[in-house]
Amino acid sequence: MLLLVEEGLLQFGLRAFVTLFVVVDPLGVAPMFVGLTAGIDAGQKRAILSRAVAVAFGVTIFFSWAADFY
Amino acid sequence: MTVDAFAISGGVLLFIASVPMLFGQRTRLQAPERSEERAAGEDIAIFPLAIPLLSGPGAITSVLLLTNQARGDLARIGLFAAVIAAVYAISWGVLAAGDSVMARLGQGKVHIITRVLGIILAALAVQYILSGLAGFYATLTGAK
Repeated sequence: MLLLVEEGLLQFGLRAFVTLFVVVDPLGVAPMFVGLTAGIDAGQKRAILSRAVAVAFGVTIFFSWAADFY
Repeated sequence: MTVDAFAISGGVLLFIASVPMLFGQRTRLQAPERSEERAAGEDIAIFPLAIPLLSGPGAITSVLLLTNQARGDLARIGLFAAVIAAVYAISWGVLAAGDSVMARLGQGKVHIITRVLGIILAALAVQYILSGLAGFYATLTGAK
């Protein structure tokens, strides 16, 4: 990782944020969420969304933890 | 396997994920297969929303790469966990506001944003490949 050796904490955080935001792509997922939940009432929509985000976060954190054993 | 191999393969995978974004198709890595789309009443929270839409191969690959690049530094690992939480919190907000966001932006602007994000993703992917190559070159020349 020669190119990343001089990177500071803030730069690492920013790069991590931009990378993850781009690959998670909430603006791209939003229209699909709207399409998938069409006709479901607002309360249930919220519950589905919260569960989906919680699971996605859990999976991502799991892989970040698992990477330490790699 | 070395971290450099991981960086190069991750870069290649991310680059492949960026191409459909650039050409305005939904990523196969992100989008659910049409035939697997929800039957009425089926739970869509886990599949396809959580996996693979919000946490697909792209996100998992990036997380593996970035965690490796934190190189055991506790401050970076902690910061990265906070970054992951922030990205998903923002995603929750964006999706919760989905209907109004879509109405406000319109399909055209969403396409433009996806393409711009695709360009950024492609560049990030190449950066990963370059980092992997630089690391490998350093091993070859014994500079590491």
